[in-house]
Amino acid sequence: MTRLPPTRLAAYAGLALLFALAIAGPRAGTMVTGYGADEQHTTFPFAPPGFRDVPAADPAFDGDPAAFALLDGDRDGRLAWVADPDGTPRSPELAPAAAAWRGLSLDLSGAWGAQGRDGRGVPGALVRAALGGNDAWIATVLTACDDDACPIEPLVESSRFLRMTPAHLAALDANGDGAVDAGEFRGAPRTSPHLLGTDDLGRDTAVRLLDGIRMSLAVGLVAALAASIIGIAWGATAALAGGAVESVMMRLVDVIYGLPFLFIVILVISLVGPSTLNVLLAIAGVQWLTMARTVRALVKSLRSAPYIEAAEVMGCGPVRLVATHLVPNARRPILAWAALLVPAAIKEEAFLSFLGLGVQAPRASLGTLIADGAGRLAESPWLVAAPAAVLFLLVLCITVAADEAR
Amino acid sequence: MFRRTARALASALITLWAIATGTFLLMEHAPGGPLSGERRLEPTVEAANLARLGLAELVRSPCDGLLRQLIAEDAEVEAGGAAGVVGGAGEGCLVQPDRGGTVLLALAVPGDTVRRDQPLLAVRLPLWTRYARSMGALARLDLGVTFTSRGERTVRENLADGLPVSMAIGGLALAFAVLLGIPFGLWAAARRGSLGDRLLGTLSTAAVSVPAIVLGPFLLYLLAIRFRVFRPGGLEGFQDLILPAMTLGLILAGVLQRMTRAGASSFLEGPIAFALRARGIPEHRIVGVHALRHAAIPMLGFLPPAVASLLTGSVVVETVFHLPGVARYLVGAALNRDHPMVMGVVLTYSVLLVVCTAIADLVHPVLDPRLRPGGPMAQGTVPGDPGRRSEPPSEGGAP
Repeated sequence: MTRLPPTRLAAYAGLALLFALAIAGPRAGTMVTGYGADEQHTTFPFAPPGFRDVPAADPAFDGDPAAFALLDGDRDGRLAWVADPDGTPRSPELAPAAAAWRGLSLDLSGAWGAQGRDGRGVPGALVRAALGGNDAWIATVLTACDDDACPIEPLVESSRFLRMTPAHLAALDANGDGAVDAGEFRGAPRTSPHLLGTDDLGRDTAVRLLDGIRMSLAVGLVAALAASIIGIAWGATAALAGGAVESVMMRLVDVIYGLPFLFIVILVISLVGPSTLNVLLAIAGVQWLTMARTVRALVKSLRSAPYIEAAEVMGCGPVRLVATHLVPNARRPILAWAALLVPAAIKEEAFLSFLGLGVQAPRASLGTLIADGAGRLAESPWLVAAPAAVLFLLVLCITVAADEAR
Repeated sequence: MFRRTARALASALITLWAIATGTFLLMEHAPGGPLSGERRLEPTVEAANLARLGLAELVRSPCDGLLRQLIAEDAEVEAGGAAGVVGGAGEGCLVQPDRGGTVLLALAVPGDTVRRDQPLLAVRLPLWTRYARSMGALARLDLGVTFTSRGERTVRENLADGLPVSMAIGGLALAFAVLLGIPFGLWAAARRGSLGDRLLGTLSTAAVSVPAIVLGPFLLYLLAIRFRVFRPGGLEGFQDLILPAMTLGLILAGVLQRMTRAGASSFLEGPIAFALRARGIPEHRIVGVHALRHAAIPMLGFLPPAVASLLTGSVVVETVFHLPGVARYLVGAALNRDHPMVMGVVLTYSVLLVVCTAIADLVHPVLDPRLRPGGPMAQGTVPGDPGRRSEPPSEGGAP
C-alpha cells in the first residue's frame, strides 16, 4: 500500500508529535499551563476550554498599576506583609480582598452550576453584595457587564486583583522592606487558561490528557513487546520443531484464537482485580497469538527457501542457520507485524480502561478520560473530544506507519 | 462432506468443553465470591445458592452425633473455613454425602431443635464431584445464580434480558457492514488506482483504526446532540438501535472493504479473470460473481473474529448509548466479582463464536471448489490454511 507517500510522512510526523507529548508528560504540561496533574479547583468544575480560573502558581503579573489603589485600603502607599516564624508570608492588608473573593467565588460557583456555563452568569446585585459596597471594587469588577446578568468568565478575570496573595506580595517585594510600594507593584496576578477545560473535580484536562497519552502509549508498547516475545518464541519453536509438536502447538493457538478473548480478559481481571499491570499482562496474553501464527508461517516459508536448503547442504549447523540466515531475513517483516500489535494493544487498553477494568484513578489513560466525559457529552463535549481525537490519531498513525513499512 | 461436518462438530465440542473446564477452574480459584461478601446472607439462602452453584451439598442428617459435634466445636463456621471432615470414619450415621467433604456453612447452631428433614450443614464437595455437577448444570443450560442480586436472579434470566438487545445490535451492525463494505470493496477493486479507490482506501483505513469508544461518542454527539436525528440514549424502539449499529457497522465495513478489495483485485489481475474475459463474459459479471466469490473465501476465516469484535464492540456501544444489553450486567458483574454472571457471558459468547467457526468451516467448500470431495484439497490439509485469517489483530480483533 505504497500509494501515497505523503500519508507515510504524515503518519511519522503525527507519531513524532504524540511520542514527544508522551515523553514530555504531565510535568511539562504543568510548566506550560501552570496547573498540576492532580490540582483540583472545585469552584468551576467542567469549565470549557480557554477558561481562565486561577492565578498562576508562579507569580506573573499583568503590569497594570490600577490594582494597587484598589488593594491599598489605608491609602498609605504601601502593601505591608510579614513573614511568619515558619516563613509563610502573611498580610492583614489583603484580608478584606481575600474575604470578598471568598464570598464572590461562592456566588460564582453556585451560579456556575446553574446557568454560568451557558453564558448568562450572575446578577450584578449579587456581585455588589459580595463586594460589601466597596464602590471602587464594584466599578472595576463590573466593567465587563450590565446589572442583569454578568457572564462568569469576565467576572473571574476582572476580579483577579482580589486574589492577590501574601505570597504574591513577597515575590514582588524587591528591596525586602516588608512592603510593596507603587514602584515595586507589577499589577494584578495573571490567570492561566485551561487549554482544554476542566473535569468534574476542576482538574486541568490538558495536563490529564498528557498523563493519559503517556500511560496509553506505555501500556501499548510494553504489552506489544511482551506479546511479540512470547509469539516469536512460540511460533519459531513450532516451525523449527515440526511434526507432532508443531501441530499440537499451533492447534492450541487455533483453539484459543476461537474464543471471545477480550471477554476472557474481563473474566480474569474480575478475578484478580483491575490494575495497570494486570491489564498489561492480559493484553499481552491476547496479542501473542497472531504473532505466533505469523512467525510460524514466516519461518516455514523461509525454511523451504532455496538458499536455506543450500546452506544446509553445505553443512551449516542449526545454530548458525538460525543466526545468520533465518533471523536476518525474518527481522524486517516481524518488526512490521510487531509494530501492528501496538495499536491493537492501545485499543484494548482503552477498551478495558473505558469499562473501568483497566487503569485506576488517580492515574489516567485515554480510555478512562473518555469514560469520565462520556456521561456529559451534551454539556461538556470537550472532555471526550480531546482524548478521543488523540486516541484515534495515535492508533491511525501507528497503523499507517506500520502498514506502509510492511 | 460428512467427514468435514463431523470434524467441525467434534472440534466445536472439544473447544466448548475446554472453555467450560477452564471457567470452572478459574471459578474454583477465584478470590471472593458468594461466601466472602461483606454483607452475609441468611445462612439458608446462602446454602441454597451454594447448592445451586454446584459448590456444596446440603446435609440432612438429624440423627448424626458427629454433625452435632462439628457444629458445637465451631459454632462460627466461617467463609470457606474447613471446620472438619464429615463422613469417612464417622459413626456411620451420615445419610449423605458419603463421599466426604469440608463444612462450608452451619445452618443450625448448638441448641437448635431441628426437624428430621431440615438441612444442617452445607458441605463442600470434593473437586471431582463439583466438576461433574458443574458440567451437568451447564449441560442443562443452568448457569447458576448471580452474586450481586444476592441469589435473587439467575444468570440465565439476566442473559435472557440482555442478549436480545445485544444480538439485535450485532446483527444490524453486521448487515450494515456487509451492505456497505462488500459493494464498495468490489467497486474499488474494479477501479483500482482511481481517485475513488484511493479515497475509499483512506476512509477504510480510518474506519479500521477508529476505536468504538471514539466513534460511538462522536456519532452520538454529532447525530443525537448536535443534529437531533436520533435520541441520545435509552431504548424505546427500533430507531434507537440504528446509531449503535452504525458505530459498529462502520468499523467492520472498513475491514470488509479492505478484504474484498484485496481479494477481488488479486483475482481480477489473475489468469482466471483473464480466461473469463477471453470467453466474452461481461466485466460486471466477472466482478460481481466470480471476483466476489473469490474474495469471500478469506472472509470466512474472518467471520469468527468479526463476530468477536462485534461482541466486544457492543459492550462499548451499549455503555455509551445506555442500552439494556448484556454489557449492563457484564461490566457491573466484572467490577463486583460476580463470577457466575461474567462466566455466563463468557460461556454464551464462546458458544456463539464456536458455532460461527463451525459454520465458516462448513461453508468453506461451497465457496472453494478445491475443498470439495475429489478436489485437490479435499482432505482438509490446506497448506498454510488459506481460510484462516492471517491479518493482524488491528483489523477487527480489537474493538
